Amino acid sequence: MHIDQAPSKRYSQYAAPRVSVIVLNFNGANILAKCLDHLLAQRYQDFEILVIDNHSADDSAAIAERYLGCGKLSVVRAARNLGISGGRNLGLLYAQGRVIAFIDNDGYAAPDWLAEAIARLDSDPRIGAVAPVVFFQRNKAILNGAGGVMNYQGYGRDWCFDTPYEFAQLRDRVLYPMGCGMVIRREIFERTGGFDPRLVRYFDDTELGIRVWRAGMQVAVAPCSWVDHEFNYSGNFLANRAQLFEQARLRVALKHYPALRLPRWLWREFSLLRRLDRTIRPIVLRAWLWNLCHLPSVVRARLSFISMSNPLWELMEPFWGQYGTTAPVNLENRPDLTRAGATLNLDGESDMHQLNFGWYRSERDESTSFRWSSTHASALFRLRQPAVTCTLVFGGSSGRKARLVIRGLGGAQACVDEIFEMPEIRWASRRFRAHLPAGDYEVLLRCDDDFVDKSGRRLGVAVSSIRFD
Amino acid sequence: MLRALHVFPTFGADLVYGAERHEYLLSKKLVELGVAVDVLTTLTASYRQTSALSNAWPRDYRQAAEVTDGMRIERFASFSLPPRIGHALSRLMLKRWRREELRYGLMAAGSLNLVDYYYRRARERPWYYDSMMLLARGPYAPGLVRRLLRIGRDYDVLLVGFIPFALNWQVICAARVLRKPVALLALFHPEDLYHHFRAIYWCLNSAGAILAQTPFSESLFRRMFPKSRPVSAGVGVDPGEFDRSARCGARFRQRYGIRAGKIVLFVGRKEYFKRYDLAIDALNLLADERVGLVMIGRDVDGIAVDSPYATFLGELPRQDLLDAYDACDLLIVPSQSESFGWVVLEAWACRKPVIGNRLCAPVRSVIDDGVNGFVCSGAAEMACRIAQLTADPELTRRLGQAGFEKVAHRYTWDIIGRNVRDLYAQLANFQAERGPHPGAFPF
Repeated sequence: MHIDQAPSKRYSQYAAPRVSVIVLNFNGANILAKCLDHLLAQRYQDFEILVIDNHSADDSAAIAERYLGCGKLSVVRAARNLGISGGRNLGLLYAQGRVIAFIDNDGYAAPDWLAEAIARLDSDPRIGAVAPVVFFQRNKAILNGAGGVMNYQGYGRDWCFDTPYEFAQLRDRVLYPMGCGMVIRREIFERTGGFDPRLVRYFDDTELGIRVWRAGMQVAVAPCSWVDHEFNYSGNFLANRAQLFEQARLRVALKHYPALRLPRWLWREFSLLRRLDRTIRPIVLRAWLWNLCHLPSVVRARLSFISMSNPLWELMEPFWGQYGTTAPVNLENRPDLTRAGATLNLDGESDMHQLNFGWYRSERDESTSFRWSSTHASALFRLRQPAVTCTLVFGGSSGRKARLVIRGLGGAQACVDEIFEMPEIRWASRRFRAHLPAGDYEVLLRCDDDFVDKSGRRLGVAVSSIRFD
Repeated sequence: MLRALHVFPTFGADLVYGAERHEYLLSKKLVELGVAVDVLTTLTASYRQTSALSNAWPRDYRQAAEVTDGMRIERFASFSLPPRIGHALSRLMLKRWRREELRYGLMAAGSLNLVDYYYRRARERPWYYDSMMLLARGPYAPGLVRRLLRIGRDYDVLLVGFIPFALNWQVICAARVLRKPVALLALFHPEDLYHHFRAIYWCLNSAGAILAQTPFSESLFRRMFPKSRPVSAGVGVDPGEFDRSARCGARFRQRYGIRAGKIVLFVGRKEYFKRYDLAIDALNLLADERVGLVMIGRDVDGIAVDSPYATFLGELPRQDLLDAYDACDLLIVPSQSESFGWVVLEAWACRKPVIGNRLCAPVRSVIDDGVNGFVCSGAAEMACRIAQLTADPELTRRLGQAGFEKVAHRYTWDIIGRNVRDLYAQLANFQAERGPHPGAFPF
């Protein structure tokens, strides 16, 4: 024994792990166990988990405590609901890792999530944060987003939101990583501070992304780092979401917009306010009032960032106003093969379990109900018997061409791949030869020469039914 | 010949609890190994908790000085805070802890970062809470400190024990005055909030050496207190005491009317931190009439044990405890806060396997999972392991034997005593060469 020996190698159980994964939980009794199971199944193992329970009313914290025996976990119960930013800041207090990963209780990480994100982070020292590719848990073919962008008005948008993965064009660099699944170097927090606790919900990740860029680092997308997201699970617990959203948007703009751009932004805000719907306007006015009350903290924040560069304006999408809502809402679809059959009538009710993505809302043309497809649309079928033909009842603007692809579910190889032309008559029926054994199939409609209607929708083919015989 | 002065809050051959027994047996072994050991202590045999923070130090011993096992023991009266003041200080402390929980959240027991969490809270707590804690804990024996200052120069090394009592800082300060090296027998419970105060950290940082019980504690001290000098001294047992001829399981069964075919033994104070409830839950889950839980130890919480599978016997004489070790099939240590878990060694010395709680890091670091026992999370896993061990006598024997060999090779008082004697020699030489340990006084 030597009393003055050099410190020995850290005891393995207390050696700081490389990554700290902070799981923010609020009333997640139904989902938290699944989230933790996915985390514990990660291929990358040098990490600890910090579950921050944001004063849940259910027994989700007790569920987390059942996992303590794994030796990787810490559970912290907040004495009151601190909001998303406050909860994450609480986690940061105890995080030991040099890299901090965040995931919400409704995020289910793929086994390679952490390994791929860390590999991306290590690939370039300029990368300060990594954005994973986030899928909807309810339809895993659709992206919830892969990082995010923001426009001049201050509205943020998850990149590739509600876009089929197959057709998503991922970016290499984004303005911000999505909060669920983001991986960040600890030094970012050391240089720019923790999350803004006044951003109770919304724009917390946007603001963090801006700070990463202002700290001279970048936010990169890791295309193979995947998370499934139970979209909007915790959002359902909030009553005043619209106001929180507007409050946060205005605060982020006030904190980070270059001083020279602020007058123009304020003018645009004023113009937007005048154009807003009567129901929305009071919400935005209240958000402004809230921000005026918190102006001193904004000034303090601006002063703290004054020595940092501000590349924000170059990174934003160059347009004003709100993002359009003309894309098909894939979130409404509930693909479920157990309820799928060989026939699909696009009537807006019975078709929900077979629609995969790319379909606009159901419409009626006299006695015929149909849906417009977008540039890409997919539907699922379960053939319990072999089929010989596939019949498509469709319409569209005459002369345009579309393509029908039938492929086994999960496969890339097309069983049928045919180009067809839109009919001159209103509704036409076309039969495609398809010798298919029993099994699960996907019918994909692609329309490269789509057209944009008055409301801004990019329309492909109007489909009334698809049937296998 | 090395001369060591040991200063402990309580000390006596008749004291049976882990900490007191540890200091007594260590002192006795050092005397056997040729170290001249004198002891300064209080008149208290067993301190009594009067509130969350405060203790009463009754005058249980009458004689002021005695010689036992070659050690000269001097006892001094210590004063206790009036219970009302103790209660008031405890209330202030609890209020402060509640405020801390509002700010830092409440980390669940068994969390990976629990020690860091307590450490952060302690570091940011104003100093007057530490003063309150020291004042309430005690013991304060002015006569003892005066005597220490008077005779301390005649010794090569001082040893003081143990956390969380106020004697530590008094002795470390006195050692500074005397320019003598001081070792700290810490018995630090890292998962216990009551052990996390800056004044305690000061003691850990300022002692010339800390006798750490486990490699886990040693690494923890190094990490948390970079100025500290922890040494993995360990805890020991006396193999002779556990010789087969000295214990009789049948006698124990007959005396206490134990009918269960297989006995799972729990030894420890019956209080929350020992988590005896986990052991009872495990037996209830197992629901096997042939397997019974026998609990031995002081009834601190006074809660009735309500299980058809559990028998609480209270505090027993040492010989009966040895017989109980002989009678049992395995020992269960569900405690979530320990500095070492001495009973683990005692069970191993009797060739019995041990089931420990994974959430207690020191216990987890002593038991080799699957080699000389099992570490489990929760009652269900404990029940599974109990079933496995009671159903497989060969496995029980193998694990018990492995435990016995570990004790024989690492954890006998002979080995521990030699280690500590060497440490004393180093400390004395170190002090002579480099002067006293640098550092300020706590207040």
